[in-house]
Amino acid sequence: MREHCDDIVSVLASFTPGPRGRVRVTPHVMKWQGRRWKLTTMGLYHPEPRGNKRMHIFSFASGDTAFRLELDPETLEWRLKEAFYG
Amino acid sequence: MELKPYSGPPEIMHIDMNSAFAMTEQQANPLLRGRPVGVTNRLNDFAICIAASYEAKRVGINLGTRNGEAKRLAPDFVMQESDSAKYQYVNKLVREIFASYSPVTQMKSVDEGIIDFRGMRGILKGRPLEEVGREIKQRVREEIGDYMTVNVGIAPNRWLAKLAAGFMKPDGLYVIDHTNLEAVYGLMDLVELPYIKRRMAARLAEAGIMTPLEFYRASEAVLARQVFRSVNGHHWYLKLRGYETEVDYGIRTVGRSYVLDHRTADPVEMATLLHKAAAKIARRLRRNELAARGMMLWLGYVREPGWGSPRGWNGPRGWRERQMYHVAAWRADQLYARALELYQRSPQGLTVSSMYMTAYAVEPARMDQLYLWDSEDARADRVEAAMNAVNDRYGEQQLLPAAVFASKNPMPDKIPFGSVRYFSS
Repeated sequence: MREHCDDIVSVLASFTPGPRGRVRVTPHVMKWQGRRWKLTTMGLYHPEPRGNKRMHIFSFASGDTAFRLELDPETLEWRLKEAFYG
Repeated sequence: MELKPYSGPPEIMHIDMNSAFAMTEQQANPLLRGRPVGVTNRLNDFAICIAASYEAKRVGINLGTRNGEAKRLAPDFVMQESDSAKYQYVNKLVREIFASYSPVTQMKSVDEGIIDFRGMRGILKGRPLEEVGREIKQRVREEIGDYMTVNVGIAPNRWLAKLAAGFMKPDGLYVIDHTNLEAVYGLMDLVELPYIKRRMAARLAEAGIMTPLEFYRASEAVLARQVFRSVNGHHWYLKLRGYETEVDYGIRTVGRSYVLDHRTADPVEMATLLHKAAAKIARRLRRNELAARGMMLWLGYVREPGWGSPRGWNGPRGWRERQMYHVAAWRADQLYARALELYQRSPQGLTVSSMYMTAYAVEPARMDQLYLWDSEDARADRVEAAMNAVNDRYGEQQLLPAAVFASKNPMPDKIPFGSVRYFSS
């Protein structure tokens, strides 16, 4: 089952050097609906252009729930856009 | 005299991703891994699968399977709506990996491409291409995602390299050259060869060619005069023997296809859709500094019962019209006027369920044309350039022509199946 949302969430993330001079950003823990969700499997990072803004999209799983999380590079807000219950 | 197979080293590498869109979704969502997954362009009641994962294919879910049917075949089937940005990013990473090996690379579509290693032996420093192929497979896992796999085919020409890539699917690596060419043909059916589908196989069968080996052994005269009746016969004779016949022509068409959320027979709604599609095509043309002289419009109709046939619909399934113009167009209003002209020739009163509009006969646009006097054309050019600048900054479709504003049918960017040469990088 899929749940669409648009909730601002708190995220603990690491920023480490990645291939070809890029920075690899990994969200580790997310606080949502009063609960801490720990990343268990990283899925995919991809950027999504919105005009001249480049949103950063992180897809990952925490146990039997998968999430789609967006980082806004201008406001530095993390927004949860989708939860998928396996 | 029969031409011997090309005996030079195999230096063309074809790489294709395994069920690319579905696998990308499985990479993104770990809970979908190992499950039957389909991808559709618009998740609605009529959704059909445009890409299926290997798990889905194993239970008979393929291109064209409807959502409901897929769920009957596999109760744990998940249909995902396509995510163009995701696939474009994966495609960009794949292109970067390709470009790190050779300056001559080409993405043939969103999920497959070519690396041409001819003349690269010095740079490879004696490394065999199989080793390079294995390294690319490893890099795809490390740099894109641990669930991503690719098939690698190595051969003397592009067609054989594609054949080799498909030979050991999934996650395969295979080399074809003059030493094993006949053995490979001997293990395959005609319709397993790239670009040979049922209709082409039937044409070959008419000339007594039933297997790839018979195709390979057919004389050039039979292929050119009896089967293909064109220069294509000569090309097939060469490519079956490993000689290169494919030429990269660049962008030849720019099109937009669309399945309507709100099916309609209303000419006003259709006009707004044509305008939207024209605006999208114009944007792609302008981004690549191209213009098009030809316009083609295809409409697919809803098949409704009650037209006299015992099985229901006996009206047309679709309609197509095209026209070549003397002057090339690149602006949305020009393309819209041409599409509307074609639409007005279509049978009216039928409910349209899908449409495909394409600008063809593409050529470099002369956008630097200076106008001696300010004209309507010059003003329209400036307006469109300004609208594009606004949309570049704030996002697609932020500024639209007023005529399309009220349309019930949104037209978001969806998976481009054909060329990826007009992808933004």
